[in-house]
Amino acid sequence: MINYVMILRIAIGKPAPTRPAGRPSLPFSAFPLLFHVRTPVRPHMSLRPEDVQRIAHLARLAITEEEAERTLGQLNDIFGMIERMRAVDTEGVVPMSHPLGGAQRLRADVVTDIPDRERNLANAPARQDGLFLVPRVLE
Amino acid sequence: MSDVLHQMPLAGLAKRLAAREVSAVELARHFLDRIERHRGLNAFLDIRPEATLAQAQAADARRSRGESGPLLGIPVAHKDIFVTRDFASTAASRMLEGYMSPFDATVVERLAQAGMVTLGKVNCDEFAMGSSNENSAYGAVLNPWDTSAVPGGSSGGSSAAVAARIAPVATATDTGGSIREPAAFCGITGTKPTYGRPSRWGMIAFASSLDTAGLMTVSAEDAAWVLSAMCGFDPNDSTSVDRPEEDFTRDLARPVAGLRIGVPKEFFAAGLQPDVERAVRGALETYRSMGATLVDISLPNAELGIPVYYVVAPAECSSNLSRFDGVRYGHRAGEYGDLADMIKRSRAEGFGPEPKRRILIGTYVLSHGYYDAYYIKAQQVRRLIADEFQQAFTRCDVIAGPVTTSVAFGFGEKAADPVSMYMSDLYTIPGSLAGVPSMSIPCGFGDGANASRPVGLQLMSNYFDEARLLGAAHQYQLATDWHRRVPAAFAG
Amino acid sequence: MARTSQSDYSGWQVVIGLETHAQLSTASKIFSGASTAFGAEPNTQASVIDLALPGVLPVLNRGAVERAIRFGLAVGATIAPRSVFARKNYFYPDLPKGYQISQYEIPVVQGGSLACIVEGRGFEPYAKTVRLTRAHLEEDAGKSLHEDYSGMSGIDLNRAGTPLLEIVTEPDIQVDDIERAANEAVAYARALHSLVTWLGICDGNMQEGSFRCDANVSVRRPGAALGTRCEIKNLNSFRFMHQAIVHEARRQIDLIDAGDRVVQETRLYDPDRDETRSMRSKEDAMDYRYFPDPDLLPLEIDEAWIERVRAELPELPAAKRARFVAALGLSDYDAGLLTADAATARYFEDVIGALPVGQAKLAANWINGDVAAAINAAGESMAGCPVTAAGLAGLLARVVDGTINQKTAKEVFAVLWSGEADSADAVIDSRGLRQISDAGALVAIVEAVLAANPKSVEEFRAGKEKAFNALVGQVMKQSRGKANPQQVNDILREKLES
Repeated sequence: MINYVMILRIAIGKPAPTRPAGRPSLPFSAFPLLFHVRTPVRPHMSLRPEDVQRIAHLARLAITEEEAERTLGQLNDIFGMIERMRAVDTEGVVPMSHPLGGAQRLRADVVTDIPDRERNLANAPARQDGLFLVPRVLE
Repeated sequence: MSDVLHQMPLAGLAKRLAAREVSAVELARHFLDRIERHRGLNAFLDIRPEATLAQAQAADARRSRGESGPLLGIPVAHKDIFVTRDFASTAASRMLEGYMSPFDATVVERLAQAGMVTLGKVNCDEFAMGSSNENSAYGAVLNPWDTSAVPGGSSGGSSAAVAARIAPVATATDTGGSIREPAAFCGITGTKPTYGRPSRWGMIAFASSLDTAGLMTVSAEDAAWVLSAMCGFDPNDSTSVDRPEEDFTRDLARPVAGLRIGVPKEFFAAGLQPDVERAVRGALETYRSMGATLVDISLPNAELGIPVYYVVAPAECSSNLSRFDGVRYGHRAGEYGDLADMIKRSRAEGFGPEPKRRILIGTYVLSHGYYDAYYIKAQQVRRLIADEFQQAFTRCDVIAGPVTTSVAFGFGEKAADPVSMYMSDLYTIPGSLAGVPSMSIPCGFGDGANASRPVGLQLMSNYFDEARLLGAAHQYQLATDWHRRVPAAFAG
Repeated sequence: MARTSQSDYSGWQVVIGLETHAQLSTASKIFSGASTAFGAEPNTQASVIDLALPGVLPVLNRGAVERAIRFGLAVGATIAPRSVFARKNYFYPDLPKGYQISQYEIPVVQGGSLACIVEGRGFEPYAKTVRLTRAHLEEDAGKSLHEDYSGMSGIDLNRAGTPLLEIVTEPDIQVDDIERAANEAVAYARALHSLVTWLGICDGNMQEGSFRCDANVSVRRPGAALGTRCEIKNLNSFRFMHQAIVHEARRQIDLIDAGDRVVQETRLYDPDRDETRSMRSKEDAMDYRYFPDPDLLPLEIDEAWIERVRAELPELPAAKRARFVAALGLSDYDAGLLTADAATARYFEDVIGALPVGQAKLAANWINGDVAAAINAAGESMAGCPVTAAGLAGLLARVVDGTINQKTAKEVFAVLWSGEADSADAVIDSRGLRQISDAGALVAIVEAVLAANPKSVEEFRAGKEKAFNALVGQVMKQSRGKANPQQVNDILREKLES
């Protein structure tokens, strides 16, 4: 299966650049051959602080302005790295959601589990009368 | 005599146990003493000698009833990702501080059935997310070879415990390299079987389509014994592979003459440190001298493993970690406004920075408008990578290369830069995405200032070919002694 | 603010699509081995899987899949050879995993349709077919209990993981009359309720939440594009469903008339105040971050399985109804009532099976008449009918063979219903209710009546036919209802005309 990334690599065929000396941390830029061939790539739309707040809310993570600010740079770095993947031609490729494929195995409709409530609730932060307690749920 | 117990292979310990030269209780005490002596490593998160000794007594009782077996009475440490009834299960997170599971993970249960005695729970990166163990909420584990170096991650407690010989064997989990990288950094043998071979029931989930239980051992032979007991069909895990159980020791004696070893050129490209390359090429030479054939292969898309992984794994983890909401178990914030605020604060306080970061990435890539561009795309590239492995395995029996680009790095070196930290798993992620079995075996040490930091050789095979893989590793270990080296401070 | 006259809403078309959650009647949960029984102590039927404790994994219940196949075949749908379970991510305290396992892009049941009879005041009943979009398997959530627990709410996860089949229709109800639209929605819901209970895949208990309907309601001018829809929840009876739809359609028309616009939202019906109100929205309801559940491989259903289920499928209501008309000579109306639910149909078939051939009409009249009336009066269902099919057949057999007449049969039925006796023969014997068919005895009674009522005799002879009926009544009275009415007629006429 030849895709256009492979063709790009063949076309570019750059020799490996000189390695950085010593034992540095290996920032992203230390892998020019590995990743710089991944052009042209539509530049990643940088996240904005309000995006981080929105995502944090979706994920139910309380996050301060400072944290959002700090996280923003890291997330943008990560998405910058991920961007390389998006240039690959995957036309017609079936997404692989599982390593082994195959079909789901089913179980018989039989009651096999008599729960031990005392044990199962033992780690509850708050409970009463066999219930988990939470701040008032408003309908 | 007991001073050398911790240096013996499992087969040797089994022999002593069988001959009643040592009891399971004595063996457990020996390792508990060593754990206590080396607490400074921070390898263990929970030790309960009374529970350990009770298990050891039970093992001795089984033997006196006439039972036998290669693992009866052998101690094991469990990564804190496996839930256990007798020990707290925290995933090295504040979120689960003190959490007691009402059931044992299948892996734990199977090993207990084989007679293994639990020494305790070992440290790791929080929710198995990390490559250095610096993400543990309970402090990082030190690398027994060089305490200024990280032990690797996420199974750093498992690798350090075995490297320091304070546990003869430890369970571990691998999602993108979490067995192989710390095994390489700690100079021991790390084994990740085929995805679906060991049950995931009772493994605190990180990325369900990648999470694989495995082992940290001194040698491939030890791994083969324990893996045989650990793997097997589990009706509680619908992704568990329904195949007859296997004796993974069956190919240990098989010579490597004629073995075709594929060497992917992409694993030797820019970024690979010269000392690691030297040691790995040396190992390949050893194989050649033993009669194996080296075959040049190419895994052109393997290098895309990292971006693919950092879409797939966070996506799955963002969903898997949603159950930690402070309602039924786990951390609940002390102060909060309404219900939503309680959940948000509990999660913000309970999770450390790395799980939070990955939850945010995963939430984003699954959110409306980005799903196709990121998640579907990643799953497609994942297939390309897996297909390349299948093509490669038409030309070779095993694939060999480095585990990591460098030897263990120092504490704090990468902690501030997630992307550079993520690069630690450059060579291990492709195998995880494909789900093929792979191992790390010690093959030397670094250069200069890194002369005390081990180098790992990565070996991969096709699905379900673990016996062959372990055989190839064992044959190398018969010809070399890297795996028998013990850091001086932990030898005695 | 709401207008009082229904005619003010003319010129609007109401469009309705329905989503129904039917709890499947499995013994165990969809992904765990815990029991699904209703009404247990809190959290005693919540397994470690239902509680989403760390390390647990789901394993799909074959019984739930089988019921989905059964439903799909009954509505003529396609059973997907391969369908996918996805995670629907949102946070709610009664949703233990922080996601619901459901089917999203590829559901197990695709397409199909359901026919129903629309009934209501002011129009003749008519047939309507509603197309189904899909039906998919998913898990139910737990319950939040709002009683005061130390100032907090309680979470009971017994219901979490109960298998649901969510049945979604096309917006096929498009009617230019609010009441009629509600009638159609209710007709569909009743037909669906009847079908799922008929198939034995759901117990249909609406009070316990086993069968829950949500209605997507929008309004538009006929011919215009579809309006913005609101999803109305909490329709836990057919009556509330009707009321809620009428209310909601009026609310939307009022809004538009007032120059406002309808906002897409989920609204809760409050039967006490007969109104719908906006639910505090599950925040971020629009971004569920669906993705295939990595814990579950695709669900594959092969042709052999489908055929096995097809072979075990009971005769469906429509087919049975047609057969009752064609083979048993019943009216379509009677046949319709007898096939309204599986228990009634079974009861009817059991009764006629125990009677001589040709008595279907008699049985139908009794079941749709006295039996149905008694059941309704007692607030029971056919399943709770104290007179067994065998008991009713025993009674009707005595009507057929002339042992008792219809009037006496009602008396015997009342005794059987009360539980004082369980066989008609026992009641007839112990109470001496045997019909008097002995001509001699009847002649004696007739003669006595004629002698005692000379005025009626005279009137009859003067041509007043009504007087004849009065005399029959007197004879019946004298015989305490046991006289064979036909014989009484014959003897009386003979005596009077002689």
